[in-house]
Amino acid sequence: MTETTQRWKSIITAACFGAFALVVPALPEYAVTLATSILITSIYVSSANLLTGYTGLVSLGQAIFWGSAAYVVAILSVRAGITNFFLLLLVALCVVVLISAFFGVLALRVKRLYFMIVTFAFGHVVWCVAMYPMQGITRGYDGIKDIARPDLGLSISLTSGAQFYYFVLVIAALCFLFIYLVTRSPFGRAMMGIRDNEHRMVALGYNTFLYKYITYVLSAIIAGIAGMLFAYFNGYVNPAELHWLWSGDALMMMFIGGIGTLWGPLWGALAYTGLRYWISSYTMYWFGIEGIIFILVVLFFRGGIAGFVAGMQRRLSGGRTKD
Amino acid sequence: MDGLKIERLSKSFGALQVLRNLSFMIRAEEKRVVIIGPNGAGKTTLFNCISGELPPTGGTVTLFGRDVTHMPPYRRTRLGLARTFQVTDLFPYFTLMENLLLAFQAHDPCRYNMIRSMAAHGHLYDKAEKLLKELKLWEKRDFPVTSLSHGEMRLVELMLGIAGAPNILLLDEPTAGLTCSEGVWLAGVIQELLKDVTLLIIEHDMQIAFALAERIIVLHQGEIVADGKPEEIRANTKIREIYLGTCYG
Repeated sequence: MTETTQRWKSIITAACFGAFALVVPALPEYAVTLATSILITSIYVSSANLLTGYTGLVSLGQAIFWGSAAYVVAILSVRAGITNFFLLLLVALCVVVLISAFFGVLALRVKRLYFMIVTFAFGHVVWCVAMYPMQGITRGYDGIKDIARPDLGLSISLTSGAQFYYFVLVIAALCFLFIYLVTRSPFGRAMMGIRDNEHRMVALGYNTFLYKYITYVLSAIIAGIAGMLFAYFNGYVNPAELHWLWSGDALMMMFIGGIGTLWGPLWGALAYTGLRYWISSYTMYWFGIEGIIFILVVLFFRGGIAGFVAGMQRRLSGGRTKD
Repeated sequence: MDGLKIERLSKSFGALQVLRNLSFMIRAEEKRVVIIGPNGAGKTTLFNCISGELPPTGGTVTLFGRDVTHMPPYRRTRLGLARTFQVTDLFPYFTLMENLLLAFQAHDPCRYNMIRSMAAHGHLYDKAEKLLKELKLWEKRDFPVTSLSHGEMRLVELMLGIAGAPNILLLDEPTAGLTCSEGVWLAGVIQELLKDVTLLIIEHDMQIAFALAERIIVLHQGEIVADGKPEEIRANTKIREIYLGTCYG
């Protein structure tokens, strides 16, 4: 019974988002750009949420996968002249899978705080490698610019803001659908079991390492997809995309939006990107305000925006049953 | 047939030697073996070494003829070993039903499925329903597991242990924290429910220990001081000394 209500709630929420998302291109150009940016960021935060919110692995290295995929697109399209989207997608995902498969084996040997520190260290190593030894390929601090919009090889053009927005919307919807399915599946249940009580999961007979490893690689793939879209969207990639600060931002957006919930990452990306856009037009102290918002959320709204919305829904429906 | 064989098992934490050269064997035909011993005798550490949560410092653990000394815990459960914990160790954010589903899913081929919804795996619900009805907790299936009483939580602890249909089940103080009558009741449930399973039980309550046991192993300061039928143990003066010694000494 609760399952059906839950499903209906999810469907209604998805429909609301969907309806809103479809009319966005009717808004002014800057709003379309902002919405595209929010969608891309929400995919990235979702990837971190899969790892942290659902499986309990706090990583400070999620930007590795976002940035690597962005660089694959930048390097291959600008410097090697390869424009086909599907080919770039294949290469970017292979790169991301290889990196995450390698880092995952090492990082998942340790737990909790140590896992976070190891992922942080990996993030820093990758950032340094992109900055210095690979400067010849990545152009270091300067980054790579003039990345063209994706070429799907079909008769669909993605050059206008609205067209590209719809393209991102479709991919974001697929990513959210996938995460929704995973979290309802036996695999997702096991992820949450590991988050809540790994000790007991081992005793029950789960190979918890394998679950965490698969989740780590999956979350890297989703972060990679977001990073690719970002490279196309922004047209410019620099080492900041690999920096651990951007991994930290993912955690922050997750907390603001609602950790361990399906829509939390979208709320978080919306609040974070939207507020940054709005506040930074008044003051240059955006980071300070961001910090204050974060502290307030952690202190007073543990469930983030998603938790607040769910609480309101509960209160409203509770009031209705009383009548 | 060999069930569980422990040979020269020892475990130290730094300078503290908790298990000293333990050796014993439990045949698969033996159904009720109870381990007793005063606090700090090394009973739970012994369980941790058997289940694989702690690597022993020396010696071997053999399960159904296979050396499992270095095998990870989850693979030991595949061979038919399961355990419960002295301190109730459930999934606090899940409902009772969800706790059980997670336990039943652990040995089901669907455990790696990431696309089909949990709700589509009806056979897991059927198994959970059967067990919940058998133990009269069906009405409370949608309760958060932490809202159950202590006695009920001990029962759920037991259910998680038996969900994988083990051949050997390690029960670490199944009646811990229960009143005398609740303990007797739970012991009855265990007797009834797990007729064909070899149980290795740590038990503090002597009344329950002697009521359940076919064989009793007495552990003291990491060593086996006695191993035999309940009546032999009852007649053993040395054991009386150990217990009286720890109580009054």
